[in-house]
Amino acid sequence: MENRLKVLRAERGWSQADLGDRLGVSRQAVNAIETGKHDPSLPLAFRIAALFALPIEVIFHPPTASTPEEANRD
Amino acid sequence: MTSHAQIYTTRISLAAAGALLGGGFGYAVGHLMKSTSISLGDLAWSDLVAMTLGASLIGIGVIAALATVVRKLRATIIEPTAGRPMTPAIARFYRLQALVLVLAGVMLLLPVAGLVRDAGASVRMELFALVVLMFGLQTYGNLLIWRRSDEFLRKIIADTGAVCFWVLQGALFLWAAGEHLSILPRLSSWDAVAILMLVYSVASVSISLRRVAS
Repeated sequence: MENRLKVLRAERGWSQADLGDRLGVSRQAVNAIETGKHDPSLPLAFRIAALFALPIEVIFHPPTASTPEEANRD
Repeated sequence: MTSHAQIYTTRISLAAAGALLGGGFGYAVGHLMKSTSISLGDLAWSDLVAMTLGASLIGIGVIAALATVVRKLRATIIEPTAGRPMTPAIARFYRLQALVLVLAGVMLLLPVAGLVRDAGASVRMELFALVVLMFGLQTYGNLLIWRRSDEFLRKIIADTGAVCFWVLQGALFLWAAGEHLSILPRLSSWDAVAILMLVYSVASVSISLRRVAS
């Protein structure tokens, strides 16, 4: 799963620790989500969406397709 | 400080702290051996593994506990990129993890210490009672860690458990089959614990590094 968390966080001038505090998770968790090493649970994804006041699908999306066949499959 | 400089400083600090603690542990073991008729060569491989793991766990626990108190050590080791001081709640959480690590280390060392000291039956019983007590405390500590963790840390803990289960149940089956056919030597339960702790430590460190490293 890819996401725009790092961009959204940077737009607000928050550090990873700041965002972690607002979401009730650790800085390491925020870092892992931003780098794609951890997919957040549905409740956490909803908390992230509510915090940025954006729909979930605007923040999270499937990995970018590298071939047309993969894009059609989605 | 640049990120590369931070990484090198962290590595040098950890190496220095490890060397200091390792030296202290080596001195203590040497002193203990000198007072008994048993040498390191007399100990089983599982005792040596337990001693090494026990000392490592205590060392890591002590460094983690110190890092919550010493600001510079904390900035170097635990949160090099956090950009702000550690909150009291996070400091308490790290101390709890440090305590659990130290308890695990001591629990691994106590049964070996009983052998090295050639303790009598009553002393062995006291050592076992101490191990049981510490096991209870450590289990409670582990439950607290689970309850206070966020979903990311819980995932790391669960993944480590899953990896250990699949690796060890396969290895146990193959070894048991070989042992039953008198092809492989018999393992004691202490040997199995030493292997389990070794696999768990390697799995825990590698999974954590893969997930946490930026």
